[in-house]
Amino acid sequence: MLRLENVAMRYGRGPEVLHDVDLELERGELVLLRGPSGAGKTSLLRLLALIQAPCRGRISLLGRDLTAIGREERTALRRRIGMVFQDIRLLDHLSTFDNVALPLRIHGGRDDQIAGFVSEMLAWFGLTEAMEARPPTLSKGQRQLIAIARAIVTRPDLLLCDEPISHIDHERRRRLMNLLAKLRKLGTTVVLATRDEHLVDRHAHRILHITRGRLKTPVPQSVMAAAE
Amino acid sequence: MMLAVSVRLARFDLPLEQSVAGRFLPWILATLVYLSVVALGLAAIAGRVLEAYAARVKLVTVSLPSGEDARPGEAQIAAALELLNGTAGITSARPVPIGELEELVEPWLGQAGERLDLPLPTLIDVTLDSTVRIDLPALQEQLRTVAAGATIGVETIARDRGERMAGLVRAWGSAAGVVVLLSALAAVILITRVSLNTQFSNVELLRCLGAPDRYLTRQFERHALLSALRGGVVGFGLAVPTLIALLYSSSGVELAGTVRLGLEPGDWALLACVPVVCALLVMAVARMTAAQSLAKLP
Repeated sequence: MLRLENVAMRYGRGPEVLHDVDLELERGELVLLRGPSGAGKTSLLRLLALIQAPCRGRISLLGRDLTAIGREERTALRRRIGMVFQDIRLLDHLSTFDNVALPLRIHGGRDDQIAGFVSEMLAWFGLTEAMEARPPTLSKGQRQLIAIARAIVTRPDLLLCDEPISHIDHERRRRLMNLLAKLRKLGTTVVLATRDEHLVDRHAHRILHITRGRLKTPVPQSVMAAAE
Repeated sequence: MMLAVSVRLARFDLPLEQSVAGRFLPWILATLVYLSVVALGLAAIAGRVLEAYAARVKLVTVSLPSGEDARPGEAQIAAALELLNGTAGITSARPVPIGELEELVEPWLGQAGERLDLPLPTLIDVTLDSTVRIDLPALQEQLRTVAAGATIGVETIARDRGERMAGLVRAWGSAAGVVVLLSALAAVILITRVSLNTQFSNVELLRCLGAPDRYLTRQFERHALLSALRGGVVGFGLAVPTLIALLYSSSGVELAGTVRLGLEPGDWALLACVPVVCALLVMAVARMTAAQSLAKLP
């Protein structure tokens, strides 16, 4: 569903931050992307989220060659991607409900359907009571959950999470990983970027290591299990 | 219904109304609309003054020169009067009595003029209908066929100081009104660009959620429109009493006899269009500026 061939990326006229990235992700795969701070995890996720364009190489997503499509098709593809930003990025002037409903409204959903989806999602995350609250009044953990809810409310084909669980308590983290596993079974490909070297989840198919903008050879799950 | 529309119009995904630039935009536009309406109002007042001047009857004086030893003969004066009264666009032609003429030269010559027996010309006061255009040089040539050396002295109101002043006020007022409106558009371009920069991460978020460029440009467009409407109402609301106060304070002023300062209902209606036109232009400029900037993003 996603293939990167010899891809490089830079911000503006700056130096390359990703070099010669080759990667192929299958539908329903859950991949951990690891690496130290500044290694290029966020840059790679921004590339996959179609926020940045590569300066070299080729990307194909959901059967479409990104170098050969126009703006409208690019926008249509973005609607099939969910992204959880490292800086959470909620809109502080909107309520919890409106933040989660935002992608559905952008996609032109009906108000009654949106209300149903969002209420259900917030209930699952234990955020029903915070439905009308503005993000600045909530804890960082709650805001992180809202950001995750916003990313998955459209049931995306590709879910990209940049350090999504750093402020979430153990119980919610476990439930969240179960949710991601469910999404994966429904066909969503999940890429989860983390600095946490100790986070080895039983649901992950692969662990990708990135250092100084280069992806290292993936570690198969069987090897990981043996190491554990 | 109106309330629902305005609430929907006022809801923004981007916190444009919370940003410093966004909060100031209605006030900036209110100030500029105020200045523009006052300037254009002054231009309209000056325009009315010019119209009043133009509508006034114009006067010319026909001079029949004296010969070396005598004033023009009665026959010449009668022929000149007949010609003048028969010309379309002349409402009256009246010879200035000799006594009146002597009174006119008295300040310069005193009683000496009479004693010296100076050959004074015969003057004919001619009143023109301002709605009819008369070819005065041609009329002068015709007059010379019946009275040699006849001249027409034009004393129109056109060179009146008040008219010139009104003309200047109209020109400068119109120019200032337009320049101020253009400043409003420049302010919107600047504030839209600043907003795009300060809201960049949120713009990026919305794009990431699948918002097309037109969805984002609509946010800036609606914010600019609402700001312009709010600012326009405030600016126009303040400009009206300013103009009324100006007209009231100048109610005793008369220019060149009967011309008074004032605005017609049509002028007020045109001035009321200023905030509306401003709002529409501001909306279009905000949309174009935002679209231009968004087009640079991948």
